[in-house]
Amino acid sequence: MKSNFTLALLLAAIILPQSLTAQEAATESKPAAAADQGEWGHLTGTVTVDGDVAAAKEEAVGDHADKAACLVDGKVPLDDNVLVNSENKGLADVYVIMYLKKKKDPAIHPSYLAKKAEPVVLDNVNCRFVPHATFVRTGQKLILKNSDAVGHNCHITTFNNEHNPNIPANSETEVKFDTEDSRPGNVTCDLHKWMDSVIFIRDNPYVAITDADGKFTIENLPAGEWDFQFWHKKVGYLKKLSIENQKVSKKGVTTVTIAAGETADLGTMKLPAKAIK
Amino acid sequence: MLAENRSVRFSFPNVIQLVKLNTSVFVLALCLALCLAFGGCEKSPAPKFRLNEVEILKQEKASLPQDEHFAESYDEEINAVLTSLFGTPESPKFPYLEGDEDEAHEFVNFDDLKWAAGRVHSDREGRPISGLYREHCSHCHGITGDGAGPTAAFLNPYPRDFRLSKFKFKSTPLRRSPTDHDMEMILRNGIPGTAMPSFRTLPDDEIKALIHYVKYLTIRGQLERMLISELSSLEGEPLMDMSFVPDGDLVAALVKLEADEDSDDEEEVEPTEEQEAFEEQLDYVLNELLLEGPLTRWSDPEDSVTEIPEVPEAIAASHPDHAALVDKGREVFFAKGNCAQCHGETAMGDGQTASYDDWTNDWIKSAGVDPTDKKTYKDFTDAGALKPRAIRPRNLRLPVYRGGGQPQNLYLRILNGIEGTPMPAGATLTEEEIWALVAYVKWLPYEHADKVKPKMVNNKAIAR
Amino acid sequence: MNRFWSILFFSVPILAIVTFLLTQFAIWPFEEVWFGDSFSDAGKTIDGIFNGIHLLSAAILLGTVLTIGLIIWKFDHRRYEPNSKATYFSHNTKLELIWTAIPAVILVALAFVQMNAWSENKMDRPMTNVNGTMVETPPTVLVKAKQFGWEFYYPGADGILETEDDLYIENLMVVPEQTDIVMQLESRDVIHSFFVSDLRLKQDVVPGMVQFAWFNANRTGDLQILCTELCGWGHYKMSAKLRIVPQAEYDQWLADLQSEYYPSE
Repeated sequence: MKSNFTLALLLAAIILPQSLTAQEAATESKPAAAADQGEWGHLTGTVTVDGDVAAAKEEAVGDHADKAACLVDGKVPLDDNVLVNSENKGLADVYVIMYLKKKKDPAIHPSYLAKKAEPVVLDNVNCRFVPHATFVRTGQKLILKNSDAVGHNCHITTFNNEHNPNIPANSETEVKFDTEDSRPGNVTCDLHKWMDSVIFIRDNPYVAITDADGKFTIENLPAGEWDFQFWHKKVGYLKKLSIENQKVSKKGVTTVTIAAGETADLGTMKLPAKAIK
Repeated sequence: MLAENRSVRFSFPNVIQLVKLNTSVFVLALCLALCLAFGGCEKSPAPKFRLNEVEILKQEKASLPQDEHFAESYDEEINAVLTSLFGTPESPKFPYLEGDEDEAHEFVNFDDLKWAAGRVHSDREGRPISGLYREHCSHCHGITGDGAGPTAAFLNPYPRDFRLSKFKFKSTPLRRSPTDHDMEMILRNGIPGTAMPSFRTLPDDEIKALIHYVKYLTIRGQLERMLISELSSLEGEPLMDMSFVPDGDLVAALVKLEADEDSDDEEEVEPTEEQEAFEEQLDYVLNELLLEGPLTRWSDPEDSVTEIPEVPEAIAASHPDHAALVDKGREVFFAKGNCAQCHGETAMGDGQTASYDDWTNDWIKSAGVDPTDKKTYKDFTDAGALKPRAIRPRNLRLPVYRGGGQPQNLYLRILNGIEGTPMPAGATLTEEEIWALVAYVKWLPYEHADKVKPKMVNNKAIAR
Repeated sequence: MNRFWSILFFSVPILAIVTFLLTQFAIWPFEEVWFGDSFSDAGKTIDGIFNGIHLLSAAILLGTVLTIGLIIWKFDHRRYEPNSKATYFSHNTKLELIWTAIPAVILVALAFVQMNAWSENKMDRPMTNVNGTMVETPPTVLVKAKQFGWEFYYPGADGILETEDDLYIENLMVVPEQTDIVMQLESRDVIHSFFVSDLRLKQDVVPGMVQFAWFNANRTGDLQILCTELCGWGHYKMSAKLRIVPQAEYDQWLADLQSEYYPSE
C-alpha cells in the first residue's frame, strides 16, 4: 500500500468512515488475485513454559457485595491470567500474530470470509470473562453476554478502540469495531475489579490463540515466507521464546516458510518461566 | 509598676522575634541584591514541553527487567521528533498544515495555533497578540496539556490530561473525538461541580483558537505516547536517526522521500543500511503512527455524532404523564439499567466507589502498584503523576450536571457512557427506557429521600 | 529654595483642584476615572451622596492644606522676625470644641442623608401586587457563586426557582430593562462578593446564607459582573456578563434557554 501522506490525510478527512468498510470488502473479495488458487498451507505449534510458574492466587474478590454470584463451586476462583497446563506445561492464551511489514499484505483464504460472518462471543460467567482471550476482526460482530445474576459492564480498552456497554444480569449486547489495533488490549469490568481479560482487534485474520494445552493452529495461510510474533498479557512479546530450528529475533519475530498443502509445525516452543511477570 | 514590669517581660520575646525577623529580612534583601548584581534581571527561559515521564516509566516497567531504564538518547530523539513535527510552546507547528490552502486547514487552524501559543501578550487595547492558552489554561492544564499545571494537585477532580485523547462530555461515542462544538460548549459553560470555569466572557475567535490549541496538544501528546510505546521493541536501534535530517524537518524529508520513490530515476546511489532503516522508520512514524493514529481519529468527528431523538413532553414535571415516566425510570434505575450498583440505592453516589478513572488506571495497572499504598507508586508520582484518587459515582440528588443538565445532555451520557470513567454505555436500553431514566434522574433532587428502591418482582417494580 | 516647604504645601491644593476638575469633566488623561452613568436610579442616589462627600472632602482638604501652606509661608524663620522664638502653649478649649463639633455635625448630617439610599438599596425589597395584596417580589434569578465563577439559575416553565425544570447558565445573566429584578444570592463554597459597578450594586455572598439584592435597570447595555472578594487566588477571574435587554428580547432569550439543547448566548 503506497501511501502519500498529504493526499491520504485529505482522503481520510473526507471519506474515512465509509472507506473502512469499503476497503475491507475490496480486499476480501479478490483474495485469489494475490496468490495462486490452492497455494495454501497451515501452521501449528505448542507454547510451553520452561521452569516453574508461581501458583495462581485467588481473585481479589474480598467481601464484594456480589461475592455470592462470583463463586465457582462455592470457592473464590483463581486468577486466570497465567494458565499453565500441569501435564505438558502448555501456556494458554498466547496470541500468535502474523507480523506484517508494510507493503506485504497476505492473500486471505476465502474460508475466512465465512468465519467473519460468525459472531465472536465473550461471556461473563461467575464474574469471569469466558474465554479469557478473544480475537475479533474489524467489522466482525462481538456478542457481549452476561450469564450471571449480577450486572456487569464490559470495558474494552485498546489503543484504537473503546467500548463500555453496561450488561445487566442475564442479557447480551453486541459491538463492532471499525479500527484495528497493533497489539491486544484489555477487557475489564468496572464493577468487579478483579475481572480482566484480553482482546485483540485486527483486520488480518491470521491470528491464533493457544488453547489450554498451549497448542495453536493457523489454517490456510498463503504459501511463502511469513513472520510471526507471540504475545501474552503477562509477558508482552515473547522475545525469549526458543523454537527448535528457528531463529527468534530480538523483537520476538520468527520467520516461517509455509509450503502449499502442508502444515508447518513449530513443535514444542519453550518460554523461560522468569519471562512471566 | 507591676503591670509595667509585666508588659516589659511579656514583650521581651517579641523584641527578639523582631530582631530575628529583621535579620532574615536583611539577609533576604542582601541575597536579592547579590542576585541582581551577579545574575542580572534576565527573562526566565521560555517554557518547554515536558516529556511524558510517567508513560516512559510505565513502559519500562512493562518491558524491562526491574530498575532498568531505556537509553537516555531516546528522550532526546522523542523530543527531536516532536519538535520537528509540532514545534515548541513558543512557536507551534502542525505537520503539513503550515501555509497550505486546503481543507485540512480546518482541522487545526495554523493562525489560531500561533495566537493561542507563546507568551501572554496584548496590544494597547488589551486585545491579545499571543499566549491565550498560557493566560487562561496552562496554570491548571500545564504548558504540555498534561493536566499537571501548578494548581493541578489542589483541584478535585484533577484537570484533564489531554494526551490520552479522552474527553468526557461530548456528542460522539467512546474513542471518537469530540466535535469542535462539544469543546466550545465546555469552554463556554464550564463544567459545573469542577474547577473548570466558564469562559463565556471571551470573544468567539479566542474560544476557537483555544479549541484548536487543545486539539494540537492532544494530537501531539498522543503521538508522544505512541512513540514511547515503540521504545520497548527498538532493541538499541535509534527511534529516529536525526542525523539524516540536517534541517530537522521530518515532514520535508518524507515529502522528498516519497517524491524520490515516485520518480523513475534509475541512477540512484544505493542507500546505506542506516539510511534505509531511517527511511523505513520515517515512513512508519509519520504515515502509520501519526496519520493512521491521532490524525485519523481527529479528522471528522462530526460524522460519528450520536443523534438525539425528540425529547418526550412528559419529561416536564407539569405534564400529566410525568409521574408515570418517573416511576418507569425508577424501575430501570434499579433493574435493567443496573444504575444503583454504583450510584447507590439512595442515588447519592454511595454504591460502589473503589474505581479509578482512565487517566489514573493508565499507570496504576502497572505491576506492583497499589493505588492505596503510597510506597508502591512513589516512583510514578516522582515522575510527575498525580496522587491517585478514586473516582466517585455522581450524587444524583444534587442538581449539578457536569456535562449539562438538559434532557438531551443526560440522554447522551446514558446512551454513550462517559469516556475515561467506569460509567458504561446503556447499550441494552431502549430509547423509551433512556428517556424514563432521564426523567427520573432530573426528578431525583426534588424527590423525598425516603422514597427509594421500589419493591421488585422479576425486575418489575410493584406499587406499594 | 527657601520656600520649598510652603510651595510644596501650596502645590497640593492646586494639583488637587486641577485633578478634581479634569476628572469631573472627563478631560485627558482622566476620561475614564469615574464610573459611567449609573444604569439604575437607585444608583444615582448613591452617586449623589458620593459626590457630596467628595466635594466636602475636597473642601476640607483645600482648607487644611491652604492653612498649613499659609502658615509656613508667613512664618518662614528666615524672614519672620529673625531669632524670634516660638511660643509653646497647650489646651485651647474653644478651638477643640470647634474642631469636634463641626465634624460631628457633618457626620450626623451624612448619616441622615444616606438613610434613603440605604433603605432603597438594601432594605426595601421591591413589592409586587399579587391579587390585590402587595408581596415581596419573588427572585427572578438565583445566583450561586463558586470557586471560581457565577452560576445563574432561571425558573423554568413553572416560574418557580429551585425546581427540577430550572434553567442553568454560567457567567451570563440576562435581565429585562425597567423591571424590578430581585436576585437570590448564595455561595457554594467561600465568601464571594457580587459587584456590578454600573449599577452601584455590591453584596457579599456568604456561604450558608440566602441573601437578596435588587435593582431596576433604566436602559439596556452589556455590563460586567465582578467578584470583589479580595482574599483567595481565583476571585479576580470571576467575571461574568450582565446583559440588560428589552422585555421582548428577554422573553425570547428565556424561551431559547428552555428549548435549546445547549444554553445559547
